Amino acid sequence: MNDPQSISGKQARELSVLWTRAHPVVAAFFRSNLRDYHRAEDLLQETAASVAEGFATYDQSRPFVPWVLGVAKNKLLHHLRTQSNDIHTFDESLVREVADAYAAMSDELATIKDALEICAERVSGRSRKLLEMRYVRDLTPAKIAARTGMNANAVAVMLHRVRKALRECIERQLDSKQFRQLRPEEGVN
Amino acid sequence: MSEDCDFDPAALTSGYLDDLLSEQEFNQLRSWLARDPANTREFVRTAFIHSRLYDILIQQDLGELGFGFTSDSQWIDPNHVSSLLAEELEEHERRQEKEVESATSASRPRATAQFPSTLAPRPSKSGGVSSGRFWLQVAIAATILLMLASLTRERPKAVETVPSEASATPREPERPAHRPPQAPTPIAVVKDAFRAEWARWADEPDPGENRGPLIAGRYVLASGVAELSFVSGAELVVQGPAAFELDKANRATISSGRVVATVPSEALGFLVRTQGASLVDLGTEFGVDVDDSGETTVHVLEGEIAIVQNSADGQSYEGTLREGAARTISSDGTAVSEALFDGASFIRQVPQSQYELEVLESRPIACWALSSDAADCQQLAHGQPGQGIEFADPNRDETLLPFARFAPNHGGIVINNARALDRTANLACEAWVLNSATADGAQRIFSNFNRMPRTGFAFGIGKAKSYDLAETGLRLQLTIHGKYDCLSFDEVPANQWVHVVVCVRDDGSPEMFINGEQRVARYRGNGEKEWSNDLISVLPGARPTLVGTPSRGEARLGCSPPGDDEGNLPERFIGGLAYVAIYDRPLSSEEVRRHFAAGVPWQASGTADEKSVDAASPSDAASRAFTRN
Repeated sequence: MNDPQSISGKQARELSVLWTRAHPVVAAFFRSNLRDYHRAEDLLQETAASVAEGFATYDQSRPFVPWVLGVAKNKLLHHLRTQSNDIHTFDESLVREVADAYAAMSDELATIKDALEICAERVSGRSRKLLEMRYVRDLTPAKIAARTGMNANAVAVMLHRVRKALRECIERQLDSKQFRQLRPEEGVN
Repeated sequence: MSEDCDFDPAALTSGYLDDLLSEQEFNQLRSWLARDPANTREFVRTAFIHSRLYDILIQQDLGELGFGFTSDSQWIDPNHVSSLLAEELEEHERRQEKEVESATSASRPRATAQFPSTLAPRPSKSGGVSSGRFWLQVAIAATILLMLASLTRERPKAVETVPSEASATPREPERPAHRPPQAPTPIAVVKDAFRAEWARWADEPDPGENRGPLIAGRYVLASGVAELSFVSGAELVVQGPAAFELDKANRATISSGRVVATVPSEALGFLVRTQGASLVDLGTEFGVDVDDSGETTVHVLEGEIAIVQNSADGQSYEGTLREGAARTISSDGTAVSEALFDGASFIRQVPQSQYELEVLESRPIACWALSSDAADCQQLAHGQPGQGIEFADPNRDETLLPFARFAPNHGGIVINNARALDRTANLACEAWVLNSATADGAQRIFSNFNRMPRTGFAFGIGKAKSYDLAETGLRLQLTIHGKYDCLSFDEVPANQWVHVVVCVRDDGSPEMFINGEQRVARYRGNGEKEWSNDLISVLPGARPTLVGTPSRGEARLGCSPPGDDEGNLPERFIGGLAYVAIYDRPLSSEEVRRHFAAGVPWQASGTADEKSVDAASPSDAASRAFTRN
């Protein structure tokens, strides 16, 4: 039953929808444990392939995200045991706890995701430039510091502040119980 | 913060995500996480925002760049693109400086450097380009500029239907009604070519002989292989028959045929267009096949590319494609579908001889030229020469055949990417061998033997006496480990170059060829002494299978690898080896004959009369062909 070809067209469509929903959570799980973006992407791809191969055996009465996270967790643990040369990696029990937390919080994370899209659009000025350098160009704080004339510590503090401001923006969004367009003055600068 | 502590967990989490924590800080974070599940949830919220920022910002940035990728806008801020390109150029220069520094500090004695590029892992032509998202953006940005520039021109033209009587020649692309003025300066040169026959269209520039500058215009390579080097640094290996247009130093349009594009970082933005697609190389290597209907199939050989569909509605960004993947784009640019990746089907380097061309056209999954100056004939597997192996010096050895000489104490050539060759059926092995009459025992040309359990296969030459036979002389030999030994009845002559091929069909049964002719073989079960003409009878069991088990271990040229338990005998090949090739299918008798024949006139170096070569016995022909008299 592990033959991916045994998935019917209907199942393939269902898988596509389910995977699209699960993707942000699974990606975040890998990026929480691996700071190397490309390595995280590789494991995400491998997980997608395994999920597609095993979808015929997936019990659809059970939630999809925890099932996928189980696959992702095993991929990550295998990677950490065999290939990782990261200095700072969580031990297995902590990786499992983080995976469990992601599984338990999938609904909450879905609402954070929607709110973040609104909040991120409102980030402007230096904060915006900083986020672009960090995320779009994949620069480390040290490299950002070298390009901006700041010191690395100041960059790290600023990144922390922007994330914190985004958290607060998201919380305001969630507290309002319904999403609404932020007024300009509510943006994060 | 969920509790009192002498540090800020949110700041620690942020530092962790930016990979900035000290050991002590990381331990603090770990302890904090392990202390309370609420802390883990807090960490997950921050980490999730971090992860989503990657995706959201990249999406927004692409949207800002996008010439209709994500919106109806058709504009782009050239300053944005320029700054991206300038930044990348700086980064590239820094990388180059760093590489020069590290190369200087790591320079080695000539004793190791003299061994050739043919066996060393082939350096990436991309010059160490990363495949990060930034590259993707830069390349897409460059594409945008190119495409916007093209908006003032016509869209790529549909290709004319080929007249039926001209099936052997490529189709001529439809001429634009108004050709843009041709740049007076060359935009590319023919860097290398083999048997290249160029066709010329009435008012088109003539590429001339094998070398020369090419200006913008349309060209037809009727046959052979040519490598074009653009002034931008990009390179295009064109396999005839092919029709193409050189648009600019950073763009070519392929109307029909097969090409391989290699783009180093300095040629960022190089674009290969076809009727249905525009393909942006992100500092990588990819093959493009445009068939007679105008359908494009692209195979990514290294790195990553971006695909843009060219349809009547305009250009639309399809996505990126990674190494090892392939896509087919319909001629009208409206449909993109997955295709089976077949990297071996492309000729990536200009062959140096008719023999190399024949071998490449048979699509080996790996082959080795075994020469100090010839290029790899195809790269999939690489090797490192060990002690006791030296490459022939054409001046000293008076040979035109590039080969390696294996001394009795050699350690073989370790193949780095051996897993790609793990098979025991549906395969073929080919080589030119110069045997020593005094050599004894089994001599492996290629082996990936493994033990415990016995797996893999070996192909080589063996002394008949070493195989419990009363005969003298050498024989062509194949062993499927754990299954059977196979030995030719005919002798493999010593002290002369001989072309040998062993094929294994999908049912595991072998075929042997010496100097282009199929030879009768005999068999025995592994570990047995008795030989039989009946392969099935030598295997135990009522319904024995001939197919062995793939090795999963190391592979070597010139001897057997030690095996997982270090228990294999080396069984060294002694003498000369040239052009070892491995295929993922049995070669046909016709192909084997053609390969052998291609080696003969090549080695005659223009002095041999082909008719007399054909009339000579195969072994005589080979002997004469491979040495300079």
